[in-house]
Amino acid sequence: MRITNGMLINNMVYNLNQNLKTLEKLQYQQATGKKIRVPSEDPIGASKSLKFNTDISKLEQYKRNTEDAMSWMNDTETALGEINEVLKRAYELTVDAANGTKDGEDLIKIKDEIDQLKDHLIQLANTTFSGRHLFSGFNTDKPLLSEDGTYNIAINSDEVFTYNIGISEKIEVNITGVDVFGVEGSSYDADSANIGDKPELIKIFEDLSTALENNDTNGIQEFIGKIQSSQSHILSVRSKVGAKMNRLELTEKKLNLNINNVKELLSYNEDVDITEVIMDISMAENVYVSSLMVGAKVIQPSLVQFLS
Amino acid sequence: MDLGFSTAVKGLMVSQKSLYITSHNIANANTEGYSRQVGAQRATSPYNIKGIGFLGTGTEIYNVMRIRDSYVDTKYWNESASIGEWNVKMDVLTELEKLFGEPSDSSIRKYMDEFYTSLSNMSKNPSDSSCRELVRESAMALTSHINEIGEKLIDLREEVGFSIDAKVRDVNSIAQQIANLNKQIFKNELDGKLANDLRDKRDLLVDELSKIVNVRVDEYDDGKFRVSIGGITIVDHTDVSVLKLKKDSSNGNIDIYWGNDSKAKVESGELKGLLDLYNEDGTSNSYRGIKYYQNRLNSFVIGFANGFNSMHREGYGLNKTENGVNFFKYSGDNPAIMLTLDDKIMEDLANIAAAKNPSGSSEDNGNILSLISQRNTGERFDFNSTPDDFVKSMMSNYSVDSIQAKRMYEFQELILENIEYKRSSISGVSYDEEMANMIKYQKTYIASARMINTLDEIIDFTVSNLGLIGR
Repeated sequence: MRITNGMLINNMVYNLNQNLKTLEKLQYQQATGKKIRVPSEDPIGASKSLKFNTDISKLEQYKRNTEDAMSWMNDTETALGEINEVLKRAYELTVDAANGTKDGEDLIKIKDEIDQLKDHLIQLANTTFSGRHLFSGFNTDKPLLSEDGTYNIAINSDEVFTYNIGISEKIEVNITGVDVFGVEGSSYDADSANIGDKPELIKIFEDLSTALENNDTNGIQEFIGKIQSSQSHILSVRSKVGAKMNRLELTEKKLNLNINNVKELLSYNEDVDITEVIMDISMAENVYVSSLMVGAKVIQPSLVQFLS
Repeated sequence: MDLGFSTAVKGLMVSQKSLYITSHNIANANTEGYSRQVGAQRATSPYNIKGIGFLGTGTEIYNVMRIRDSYVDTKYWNESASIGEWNVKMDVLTELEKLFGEPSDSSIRKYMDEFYTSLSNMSKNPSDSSCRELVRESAMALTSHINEIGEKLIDLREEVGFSIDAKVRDVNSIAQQIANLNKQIFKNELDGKLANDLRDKRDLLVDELSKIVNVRVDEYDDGKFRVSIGGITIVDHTDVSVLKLKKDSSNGNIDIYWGNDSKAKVESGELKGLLDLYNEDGTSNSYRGIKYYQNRLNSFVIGFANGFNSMHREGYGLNKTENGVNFFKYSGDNPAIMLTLDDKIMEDLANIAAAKNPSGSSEDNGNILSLISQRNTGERFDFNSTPDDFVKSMMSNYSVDSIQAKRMYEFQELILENIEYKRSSISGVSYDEEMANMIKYQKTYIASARMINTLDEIIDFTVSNLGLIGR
């Protein structure tokens, strides 16, 4: 085959160009730390990376949701704990009042304290979490009970809102006031309350107060049982919240693990191995430099140089 | 004696001519499209001396030829159309890939993630106006990003349209130049000698033309040169038929026609690539051009907006007793650039329908949760899959198309490289060869000159020293 100078030069330019292309790609990878510049460089990797990024964004959101649900439930739990304290104190006072050794004046003092406790209960029913009323169902912008202890809003026990803590995993965050305080006459089984209805728990305190005022020892006796059943009712609500908090803690751990896993996968998928890239770059540089050297030698001499 | 002199002079002349040819070769070593030339040399007719035999009368150059293989040319012209086509497709599709911006922080995926994150935040505090504001803002960011992609796709298609126009003008101009050269070549070759340099120029023009469009070249025995595109001649010796653009008003497509309004058959080349990208929409097995991606983006917009709206309409805004409010709105036949938020959402943040129950109590997040889970189930979206899957499949489409274009281009590049190599091997100028020839002709020249010298001495001797008796 006849070889011409043009062929040598074209060949060299073509090959140098190929080397530079490799070098440019590697330098881009080193500078950005990413394997993929446009999806066509790795369509499967690119579509994986799309999914992983969305997954991370979702998982992180679930984690934030879990944390927010936790703090809401923490406050609920604290409020329920205090209601329990109130009931404990009321129980002590009632037992004290029922043993028949107290005279009218003592009972009035106990009545005063019971009234105080009732007011405290109303306050607890209106506990807020960053300005939102914990027990008001969907109407968190309004207090659950009005000052006289009746329902300030109509509330239904299905006014439970949920947070997403997984793709198909939801958690009920709030406890409605009607589930905690009940409605007069139906013990704690009522499903809904209308404006002006009296909560069962408040009713018990009010009736107790009346019995104490009237020095009705037999009547007072009855309340020991009522307060005890109220206590066990609150306890069951609390344990429901506690169980959910446990679940949230587990979920949070699981989410953290998942986030780490997906981040690892994402990094594996789209990040370059820097050591490898640096090695590849120096190799590509070597190839480039040596092809420059050889090229320069090959295209230089011709018969022209040797003619005098 | 005369014979000797004229033979020597012929030797001088031929060596000189050969040196000129060598010099011409060296001077044009880097001229694009140049083919090396050689002088065809032969001995002149001998002189028949009766009884002795034929006595040589010297040499002559009877023709200057260019060294070229027309088979390689034909191959080049066939293959270069294909490289032109895939080069254009590769460039435009790479641009299209960059325009969609996956995988980066400026992509539909990213904006959608942010939109749904803001919805999820709002689900935890639906009455909070800052959460609602964030939903509106991130939704606007999503829609304006989609608008931007839609606009860029329109721009990209328009640019391709301009390129088609420019390429058609190129074709016409090259055709005209070829016709002019045909005239010159025909005139110059009337005596049967080839006009080498003009022919090189004409072949170079055909090289250029073959990149733009599929051409067929025929040269007839009468010296007429004909170039045709899809069976119709564009250059017939000195006549040119021009191509023109026509826009189809029904679908906005551009087609290329001959002067007599018959459609030109563009089968490959840059023009074919550009036309595919501009006109084709991937239906019934046609190429997936820019229109295809515009349609895909539009069906994403319509499907997503309708699906989201349908779910949104079921919910109730904050303290609202009536539902049926849309979240997104779009209009026109290119919804991607018109997608925006519904006027009601723009007027009042409370219209974002978070609640499932009438009256829209402040903590009712039922509908927001449905909207969020809709992203995972794909429920109600017209495209019957999740929006993420749709975006992903759109990405697979253009990345696969782009890869195909890239591979085809690289493959064709290699083939063409090979043909050019062959062409260069046959027609290229080699310095070594020319230098060797230079020395060769120089020596012949010197030897011929010495010949004259010798003959001169013989005559001198004959005239000056012989026959002294007569003096």
